[in-house]
Amino acid sequence: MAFTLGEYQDIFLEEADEQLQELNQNLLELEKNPDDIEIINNIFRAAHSLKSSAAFVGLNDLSDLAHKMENLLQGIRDKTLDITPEVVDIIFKCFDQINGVIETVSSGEEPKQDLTWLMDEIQAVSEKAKPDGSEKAKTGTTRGAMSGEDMIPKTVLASDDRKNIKRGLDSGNSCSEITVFIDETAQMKWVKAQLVLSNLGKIGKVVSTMPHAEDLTDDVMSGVFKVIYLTDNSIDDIKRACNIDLVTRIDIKSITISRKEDKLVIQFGQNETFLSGDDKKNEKQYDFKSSLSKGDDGDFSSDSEEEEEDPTELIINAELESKSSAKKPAEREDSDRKKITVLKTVKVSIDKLDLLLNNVGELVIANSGFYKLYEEVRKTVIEKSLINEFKSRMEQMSRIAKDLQTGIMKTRMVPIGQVFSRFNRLVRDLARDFNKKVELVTKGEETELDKKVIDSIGEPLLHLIRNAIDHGIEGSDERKRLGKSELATVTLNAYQGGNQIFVEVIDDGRGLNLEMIKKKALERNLATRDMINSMDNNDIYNFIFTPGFSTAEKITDISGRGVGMNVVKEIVGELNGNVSIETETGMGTRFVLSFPLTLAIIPAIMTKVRKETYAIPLSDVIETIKISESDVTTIEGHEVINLRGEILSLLRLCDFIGIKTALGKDQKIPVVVVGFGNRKIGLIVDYLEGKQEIVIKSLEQNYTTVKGFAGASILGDGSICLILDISSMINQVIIEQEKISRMDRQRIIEAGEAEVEKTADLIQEPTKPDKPADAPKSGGSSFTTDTGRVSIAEKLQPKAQEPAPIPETPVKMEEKKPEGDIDELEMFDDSPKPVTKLGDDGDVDKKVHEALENFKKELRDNIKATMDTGSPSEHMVASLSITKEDLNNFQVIANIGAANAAESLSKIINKRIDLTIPEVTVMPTEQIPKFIGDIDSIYMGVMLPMIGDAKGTLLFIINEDVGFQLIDLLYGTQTSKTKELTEDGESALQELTNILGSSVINVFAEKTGLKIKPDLPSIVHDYLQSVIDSILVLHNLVNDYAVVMDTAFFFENDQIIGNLLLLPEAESLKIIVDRMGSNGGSN
Amino acid sequence: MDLNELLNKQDLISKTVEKEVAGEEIDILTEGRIIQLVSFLLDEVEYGVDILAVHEILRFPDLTRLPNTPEYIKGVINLRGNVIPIVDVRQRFGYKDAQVTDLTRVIVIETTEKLVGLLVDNVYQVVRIPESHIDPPSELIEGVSEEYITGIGRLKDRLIVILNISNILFMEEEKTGSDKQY
Repeated sequence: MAFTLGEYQDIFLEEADEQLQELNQNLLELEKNPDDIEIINNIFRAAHSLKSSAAFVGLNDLSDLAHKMENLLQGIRDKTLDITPEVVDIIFKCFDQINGVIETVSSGEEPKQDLTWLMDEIQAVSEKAKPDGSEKAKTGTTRGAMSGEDMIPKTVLASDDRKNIKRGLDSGNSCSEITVFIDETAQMKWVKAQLVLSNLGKIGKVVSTMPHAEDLTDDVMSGVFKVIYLTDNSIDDIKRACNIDLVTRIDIKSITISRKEDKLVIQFGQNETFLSGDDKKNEKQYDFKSSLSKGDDGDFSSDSEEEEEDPTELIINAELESKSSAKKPAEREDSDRKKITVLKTVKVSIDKLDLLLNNVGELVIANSGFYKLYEEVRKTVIEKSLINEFKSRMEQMSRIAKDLQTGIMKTRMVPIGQVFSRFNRLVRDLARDFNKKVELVTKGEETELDKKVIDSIGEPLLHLIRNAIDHGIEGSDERKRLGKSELATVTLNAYQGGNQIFVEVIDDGRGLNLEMIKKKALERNLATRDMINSMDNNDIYNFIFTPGFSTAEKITDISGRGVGMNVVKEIVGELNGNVSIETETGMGTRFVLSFPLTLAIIPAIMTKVRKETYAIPLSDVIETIKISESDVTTIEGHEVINLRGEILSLLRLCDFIGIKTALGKDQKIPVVVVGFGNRKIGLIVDYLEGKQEIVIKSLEQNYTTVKGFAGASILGDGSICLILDISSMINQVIIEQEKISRMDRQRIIEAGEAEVEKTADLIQEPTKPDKPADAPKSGGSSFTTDTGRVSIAEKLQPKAQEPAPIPETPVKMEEKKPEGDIDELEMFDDSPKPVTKLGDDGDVDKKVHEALENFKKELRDNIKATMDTGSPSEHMVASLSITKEDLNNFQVIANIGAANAAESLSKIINKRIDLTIPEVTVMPTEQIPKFIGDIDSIYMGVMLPMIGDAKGTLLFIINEDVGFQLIDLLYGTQTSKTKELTEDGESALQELTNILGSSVINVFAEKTGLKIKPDLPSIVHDYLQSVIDSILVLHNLVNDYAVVMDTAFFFENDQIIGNLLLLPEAESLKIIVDRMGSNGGSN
Repeated sequence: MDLNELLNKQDLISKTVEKEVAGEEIDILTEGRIIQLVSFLLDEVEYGVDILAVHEILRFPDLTRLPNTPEYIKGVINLRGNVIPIVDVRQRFGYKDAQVTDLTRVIVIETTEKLVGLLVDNVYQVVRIPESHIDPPSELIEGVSEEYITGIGRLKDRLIVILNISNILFMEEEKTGSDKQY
């Protein structure tokens, strides 16, 4: 049989928990601001109610402890005790003990904690902390020594009280002063006092008490108290009300008020004393006293035996008192009012809410069935008005159901502040343990989270904070040495972004030790060195979530076992959340936990593979696009596309669920780009159906977790659709993606971007449930124009129809980059590999990307302008039977190709690259060398033959010096070290050209639909003339004229890098141009 | 379809398998505690599940395939807002697949607070059997391993294999489960 405290146990436990939290919170505040009387009062109040409620449910030990604690607090309040760390500690210890008792009770056991040691300790501390050592008669023990008679408090009436008395008397009640004596030996006299008061309250009105009601609840005030009391009941009734166990004596004096010289005069009647324990005696005394009181029933007030002051004195006293303390009651009222502003709440178990939510979910689903029914009914029923009525009712129902749903959802939302506040104490204690100075800063406490998250988030936060303080934050000395403020901060921050809630734990400590993590990962065989080398930092940081992973040199009882982070990951994962890490050495670490806004009902994108419906939680969806089969590159069985310069691994949902796709070969493939954490993949589905709100039903409830599925949902028609677990799918794919080598990745990136068609409307505009969104059927090519004439510029700049004034010479384009966008220092770093700065990786990439986008845009703007320039002389054109228009069209593509190439180049050497607008000209072959540069200088030329449907040569010509420079950059050797072209240097340049060329060639292949591939590059290192000559030899020249696309690349300091020449064979040029036209038209 | 309906249907089924079972139950009333079983036939072997575990019996419902699960998990169904898995008992016990017929039923059972549907060829009848007539599982029965069996009930000339339903769903899950994924 479980131990229970009776029917009020639950209320008590809940309240006690809250009060403890409040106490902890306030005490921490107090430690910081020892003089803030408001805080002390708050503590006092909470400690007090804790004491009362403990006594109420019969936890007397607890109540006694709380009482001792209160004594201590009283000392603080009266400034007889200093707030020393010892005092605060002992109070914290009390809180812990109380908490212990409460936990024992809530676990259904009888609390058997021995609290006496603590009480003794309190006593010791309170003695010690007295500033002057002189005993002020405040503590219970000293009080106890006083004799009963001395302890009778003086009757002091505030003006308010007097008014009340007067009002009471006017309305026919009798007023009396009751003095109650409680047995000296009685435990917890205040409880008795409260009982007396509450008894009295039942039959009349308590005007005031001496000591004041608040103090009456404290043993300090000993066993005697006075009550000024209004009632229409007889003295007997009063006596009966007061006469409870252990009350030894009751004195009752009647009070009357009269007016004397503009002053209210309070007159006390004769004392009537009742002694309990001996009824006869009581009766006798009563008789005697009552007769006395009758005799004294005049205008005169008379002293009681105990009352020292005479009435006049009392009046003066009262006047004085009313002046000095007139504000006091008002203040009290104020503070009372403050307390009242607390929202009235009903506590409901989360299970009930869940059940309710489930039911409402069902209601919403059931309701959507009506729509179907309505459609059916509409067909058969002729009565229009009936149908309309049906429809309006149905809509009303669905509205109400939705409201109900939102309403219940909201009831589950709880501000996170209550979780945060718990950690003040933890941080304080940990900081003390580690001898560090740490401050906890909390932000966004009002952010609301699902109760389920709130209930579970405590543990992950606890681990993160522990780790932050133990490992993250340096010792005070080290911090000083590093020039950091000695006081470290741990910040808890919560905020909402989109339909995610983010909770951050930020410390300003030393940051994660990347090398150490790598080392440990290797030691523990979590990855091979190769794997680690190819991983980015974020992946490496993620190792810390592995069970048992710890970089701590020694294990403390706080952390270091490597359990914590794993727990974090797991719990957050259970809540459909995610953890990401941002860290910077020496600056600190930020853990970001993200959670979906609500857990039970989520918006999702409905997808189909054949006839099976699968839901993807919208929170995981980044975008939906359509690609064509040709965009997909396969590397070692792993499919990827290049999405706007990023490698996106693909997962075919049909493979994942083990059925065949219904998609035809030539159909555009719908891809849902999903992300989890900083990972994303593309999920290939058959159809996109639209957005829908779904209720998550767990599969575990009746079965078990199924790999790849987060749960199931019941749709409007009663059928079940499965909800994909994106995180597990991503993890699976990412493992495969890791296997792709750096080089392959690079190649994919350089291979040109997949032409994607955004189907963003799917995400932005919620479509009606049940009604599949029309999957866009048109192809995704950018060549859709009415005329069949292809003009990328037109497509991207639809308004720039009229040709701008045309400059005669090629315009050299400077990349317009906002200053400081990219860290200049980084750009000139010696390292050839992209410099990975913590946390900034993505940023730089993004900025480069942005800048290049801008550039491309400008380029396209200018294409218009340069469109008609460089018109080849008529006879040359004629001899090649190429029209001017053909050349223009060719140039359009060439532009894109060149821009792509520049982007690739910029990425490879991690520097900003400028380029000229590619110029397409027809020129006599012999003039080509002049066209490029100094005939007599030594150049390196890398040739990349184009093979396939269209033939030609791509030539990257660079000055010898620049060539060496590039090699230096690529290998990361010291600048201007390379002076001769080694085999390694050659292959570096070849690879570079390969990448550059591929990005150009791919554009052509893509735009024309032709199969064009780069062949093996070869290098010529000679005088320019010879370089060109050797090309011309290889190049299938049937004419004296050649079409040349030329673009020059520059470093940002205007130093020329080299020229990229594209020399298509005349025949191929025609093919390309034709295909461009037809391709554009067909789409 | 509830149990009453089931009992009505019982006659029909009995006829189809041409077995007369009436009258059997009378003489066993005196023999201690009696267990009621819902029995079904798989290739002439009669299996039984404790009627107390049976939640309800359904006709063949609309199934949603559940990928990445063992083959014997036919899928999940919507049972009044509950998503419950359906175990194909034939596949679970290594029988050959059978066609879904009018007699195909799903016996929804409750085990360890989970609802599971057992897909069976038919529901044969409700059998009352004294506890004393139940033997512990001894030898393998048609490839059905001991883990799935709590005992074998003897009833005149009939043997009823009494299933351990809690093991039907989860035993060997890991082995079979991981085999199938990819």
